[in-house]
Amino acid sequence: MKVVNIIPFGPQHPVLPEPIHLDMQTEGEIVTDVKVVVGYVHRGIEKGLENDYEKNMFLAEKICGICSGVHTSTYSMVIESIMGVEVPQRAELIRAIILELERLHSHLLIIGLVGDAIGYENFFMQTWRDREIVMNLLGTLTGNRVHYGINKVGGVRRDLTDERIALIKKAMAELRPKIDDIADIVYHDYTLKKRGRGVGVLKKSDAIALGIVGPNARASGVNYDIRSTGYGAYKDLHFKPILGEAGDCHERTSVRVKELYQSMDLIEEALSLLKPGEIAARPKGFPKGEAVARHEAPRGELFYYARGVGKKEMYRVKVRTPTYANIPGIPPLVKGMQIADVPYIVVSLDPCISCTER
Amino acid sequence: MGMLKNTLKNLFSKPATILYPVEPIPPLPDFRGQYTMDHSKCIYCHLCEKRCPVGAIKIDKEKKQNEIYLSLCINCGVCVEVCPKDCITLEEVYTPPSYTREVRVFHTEPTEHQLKVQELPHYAEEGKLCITKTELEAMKGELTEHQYRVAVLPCYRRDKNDSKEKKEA
Ligand code: SF4
Ligand code: SF4
Repeated sequence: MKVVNIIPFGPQHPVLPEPIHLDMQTEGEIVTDVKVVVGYVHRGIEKGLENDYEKNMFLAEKICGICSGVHTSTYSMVIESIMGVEVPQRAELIRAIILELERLHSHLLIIGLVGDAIGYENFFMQTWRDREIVMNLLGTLTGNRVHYGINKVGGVRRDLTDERIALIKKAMAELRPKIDDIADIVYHDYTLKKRGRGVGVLKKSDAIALGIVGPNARASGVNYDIRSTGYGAYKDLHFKPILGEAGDCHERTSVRVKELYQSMDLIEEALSLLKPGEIAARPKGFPKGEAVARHEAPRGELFYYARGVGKKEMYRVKVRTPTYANIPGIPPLVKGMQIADVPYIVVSLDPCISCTER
Repeated sequence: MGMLKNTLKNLFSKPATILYPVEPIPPLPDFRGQYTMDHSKCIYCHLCEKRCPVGAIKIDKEKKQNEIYLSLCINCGVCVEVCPKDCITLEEVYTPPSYTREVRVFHTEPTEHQLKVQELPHYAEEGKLCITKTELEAMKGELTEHQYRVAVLPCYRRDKNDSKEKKEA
């Protein structure tokens, strides 16, 4: 009789500080089947969002600690489209700048964690050190390093003054050579290449069939980036999705590195488009009706649905986060792989579990 | 840059980290820090209380006092925006970690500050009050008005002169 061993991964695992649990059936070192268990950090935020639509902004922000800005932006967008608020162009641009800065620090985080997952601590430390530049910049621009509190229904709460614009430019100039270093390591380093090439390959057809989103889908060559639909300020920015081909762990990291450059270019372009003007429009009345909104979060497509019934309190707000769509990608990638590769594959998909469980 | 060169360079350069808590972390400019207010300007309009997303502020017009539940406050700055008299500011300091769920009371006449500890419930010591909003509300029923205020007051934020006097004493 064949012996089947079940080996657990998570919910507490040194590689991934997020509570996801995999039950892996193994034969020797090879994983034959896997069951994904989530649900350790459910906080009932969707229920909590049945509250005053303005106060909700701060709860929506708490869904995720890394991509908090994109949650508030999407929430604002969905409420604005219900209430028919016209957001001033300057506010849209400021939002786009904050979102791209957020993408920078989120991608730097995961590129570092990929290094950590394969025991490349030096690389991990380097990316996280450089990420501090972006975090501190966000702290000065918005008032806080993590939960920015920059958005409100109708616009943004803080303007970009000339000093702050100078700070962004300075930080970008400081960051670019550091990202060149990181890119050089990711593209050419022997360890990273040897470890990542051909591991956890996600075929293009599978990515489409499973509904994978974000850089994970783009690394498999799926042209799917919500920013190309031109929401908010992105209609004025020159933007082309970055696509990979191989769809393996190394390619996913490379796509993220290329997106770092893209984000820096977008920030510079957005800064050049800034014109003086209003930064917030005043919403009138209470939300009545329903709407959906989508944004490209650092991890992929973020989706909000909201319904108001003409009261201050929302009737329903539904959130679908990128990792929710990416989790079905874990079992097919992990099957047939070595146990030692599992943490690396899971991390390379950039899962954010607290987002997913809301 | 090759990784080896990088390693060597980092070996001889200054550390990028800060030795917290031995070295304090300098607060960022324009940072939204800890709530504080100039109580004398307040007109008791209740706007900040109504708009605070977490319900961390309680305004009492009759007693002329404002309570702030520091452990609830998320430093969002909405109260600063809505206040018509600009009495609230978020100082550029980090709220320090604490063992208690601190309630700060801003009051124009902090006279009852010296009242005796014996009158308080057993778990309340002066200066050390472990209390939640619900506990405080529950206590309100069983305590006299006077005792209730004393229970809140140990957390009274001493104004600058007050703390100076203490140091000198
Ligand atoms: S900063 Fe925000 S959470 Fe804190 S008291 Fe003011 S409104 Fe309430
Ligand atoms: S908004 Fe300002 S003036 Fe009004 S009650 Fe609050 S602190 Fe006082």
